[in-house]
Amino acid sequence: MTYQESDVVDIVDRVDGILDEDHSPELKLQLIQETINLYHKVPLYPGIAEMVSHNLLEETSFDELNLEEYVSISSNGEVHSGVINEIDNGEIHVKNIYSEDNKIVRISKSDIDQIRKINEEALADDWPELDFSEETTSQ
Amino acid sequence: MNTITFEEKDVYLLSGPATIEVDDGEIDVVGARLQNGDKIDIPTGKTLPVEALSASSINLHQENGEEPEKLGERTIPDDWDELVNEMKQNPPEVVLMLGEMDSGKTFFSTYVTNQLLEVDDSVSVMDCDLGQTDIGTPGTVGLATVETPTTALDNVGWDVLSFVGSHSPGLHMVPFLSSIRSLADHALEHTDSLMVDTTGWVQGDGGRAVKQGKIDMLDPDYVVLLQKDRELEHLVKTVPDDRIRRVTVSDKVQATPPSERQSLRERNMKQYMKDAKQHTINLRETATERIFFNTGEPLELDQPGVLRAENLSGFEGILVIKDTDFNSEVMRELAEEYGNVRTVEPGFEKGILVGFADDRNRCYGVGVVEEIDYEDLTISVHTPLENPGDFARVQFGSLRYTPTGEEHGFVEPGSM
Repeated sequence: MTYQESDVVDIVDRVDGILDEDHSPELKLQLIQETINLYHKVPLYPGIAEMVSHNLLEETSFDELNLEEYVSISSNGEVHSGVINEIDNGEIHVKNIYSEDNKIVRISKSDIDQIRKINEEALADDWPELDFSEETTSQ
Repeated sequence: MNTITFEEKDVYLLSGPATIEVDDGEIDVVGARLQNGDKIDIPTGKTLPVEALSASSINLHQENGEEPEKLGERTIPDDWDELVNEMKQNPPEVVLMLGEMDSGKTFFSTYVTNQLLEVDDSVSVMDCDLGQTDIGTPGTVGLATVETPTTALDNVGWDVLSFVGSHSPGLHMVPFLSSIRSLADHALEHTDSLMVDTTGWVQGDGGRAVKQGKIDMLDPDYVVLLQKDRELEHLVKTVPDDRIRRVTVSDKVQATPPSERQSLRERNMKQYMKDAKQHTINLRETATERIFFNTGEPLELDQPGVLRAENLSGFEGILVIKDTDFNSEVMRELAEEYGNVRTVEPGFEKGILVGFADDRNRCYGVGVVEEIDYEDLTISVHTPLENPGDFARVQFGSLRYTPTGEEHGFVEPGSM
């Protein structure tokens, strides 16, 4: 078979598409990482990994956020992407895991225009019969 | 027991598990014609049309107590009968059946097989569905010889399998297509006619490639298109017109939801594994296939935690099984000396589906890996086969199962 026939090329096209999407560089990096993670979860079905990757990003609200979730927050005309480090007194602390100093930004609930988060359960939501959430140990 | 009286041409839908015994007259069940005294089973989970060919009565032994449903008309399209009548007059050697998912290919195959048994003692059926398989186990192409009419192909057992190791041919195209040719040769050594029931993957680059591959590999007398409209025509552009037969999808076909597909696959695998025992096989005597491990030259690596290392061929580099992490400096040094460095940690192999095949690539059963002893070169597997160590090859697949046959994940091809 050829590379094209395997659907693996869908993953490459998807990564290419993410690079063209209107996101912060950090969020693009995270979406690419999550897409690769999806591929490793269902390596026999790269076409499905590609389909599910379109549902990785979902809109949510401040009250539904949890620690360690990866979020992208629009606030006062700026976008902050990173992992939730702390939620405290109507304020959220977002750690940029892709900056060298892991800079933490504090954002007040009242200043937030939009919150989107990475849905770690996207595969389980869309294709529950293919989600085994098993870690593998080969490199 | 329930007695049902039919007028000629009456059609009832009956649900399994049930046994039908004809008391009087003649009935048709999936192309099997039954007369006074004949019996046939309807398996669990199947609902089948029973048609009276004459005024008849049957005794129905049914466990679920579900009321038979009387239908207003036949469920078998007329063009099915026209085709099987043609086949009965001039029995074909190889028939390739194509259809989308949920088009009733297996029901159609059963119907044609039963009809051909009226003019032949036996018919071979190859089931190419690697997931929701009727003949064989998940991850295999199965071949059965059918000698008596059946209501369901999963009742007939199997003669031999060919191991693919996945629920889909997608990333396993080469073993899948070679399986089909290998089993076709086996079938035609034993029977005059072979029905090939295919997967529903008929679109996209891969679907087109795999169907063209089947046509080229089998050179079928008939390519039967089971279609609602013209959704399969793109697959037969290269097939001579006189070999193409077009038949209609029955309007009684019901789609199987994905979750039910998984449970059907698991039910099959659990049933197969129910008497499995753990066996240990010496990998110095039995070859491993479709993995890198145990195919290279042993290599001495002076690094802590290395259980086994092998020099592979050319750019493939080396394979290292190790139970400690290598730091980046060690990895860099190894890469400089050997090129590509593939590393695997012990335990990665647990749960991988394997097939046991002879030296002609014919598989006689599957198993689930418990562990590999990388230093002693032995593999422990759960399998219902009595002597899995007697086979020439252990073929590694890309699915993981528990020892009792529950699905447990995937393995990326080429990862060990």
